[in-house]
Amino acid sequence: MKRLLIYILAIMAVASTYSQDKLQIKALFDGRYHSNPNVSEFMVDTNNSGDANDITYIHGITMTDMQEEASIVEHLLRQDGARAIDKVVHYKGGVLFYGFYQFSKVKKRNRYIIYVNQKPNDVDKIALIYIEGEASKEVIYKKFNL
Amino acid sequence: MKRIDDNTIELIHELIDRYFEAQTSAEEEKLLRQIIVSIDISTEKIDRCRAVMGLFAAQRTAGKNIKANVSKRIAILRYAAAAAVFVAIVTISIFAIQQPQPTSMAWINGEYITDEQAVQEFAASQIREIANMNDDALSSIRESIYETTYTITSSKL
Repeated sequence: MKRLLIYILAIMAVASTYSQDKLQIKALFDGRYHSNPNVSEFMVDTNNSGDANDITYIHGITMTDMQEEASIVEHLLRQDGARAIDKVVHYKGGVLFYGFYQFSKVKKRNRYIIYVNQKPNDVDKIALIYIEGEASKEVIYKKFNL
Repeated sequence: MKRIDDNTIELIHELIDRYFEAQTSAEEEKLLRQIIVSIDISTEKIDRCRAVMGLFAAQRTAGKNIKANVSKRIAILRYAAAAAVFVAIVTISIFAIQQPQPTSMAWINGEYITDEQAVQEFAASQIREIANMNDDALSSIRESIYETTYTITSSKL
């Protein structure tokens, strides 16, 4: 119970600080997958700020053997993608294989989403990472080897 | 207790018979109740009537007591619930203020992790996995990105 309370409070405190709330993909981070053994979610708050290369916040989710969720994720990305200021997408084998989205700054921070579905390469894994920080697109490309 | 003659007893018996046949009015029942508690006579019918009427009376009293007890218990429970909620809110608030909130957390295959280093290592591993993806399509995307940073505004997404 104590642990649950810490967790709820932490989520409320951290999640409300970041601007992924304004994106549709936030639905993936509402806790629905926390107990799913095929899903991993991570949230890193680096508290870095001031440096142009800094990433302040990363919230990612990976799904293994859950291709049925791909259509949900793609749907959410489609909605968010419509508001992206920059995006690079690539379809392969009929599925969204790769997507990079940049959104308008919030609180002077850039916002990005990187999405990869490795299904076309016969790897049943989906990864979506939301990134926030002052780092430019070029820095993100470099860090993620994109 | 009043002492009465046989004719009166006979009348009381008739009234009791009518009572058990459900033919008495409310006033007659009230009168019968007053009679059987005030007379010092014991017959089978009168005793049976006393027992039945006494039982009902006892039930009515008990019913009132039960209702009163239940109401009292509900009131106590309401106060207890309100107090419990208040205490819980205060406790949670104090707890939230005192607890350092984790800045990194992860749910790895259903397990909740708050160890900052472990979470960061896991995040890094996931990023590395994307970075190390070896795919022709991705390579061509990478080349495109480095050659020209372009914006797709009218694509499928």
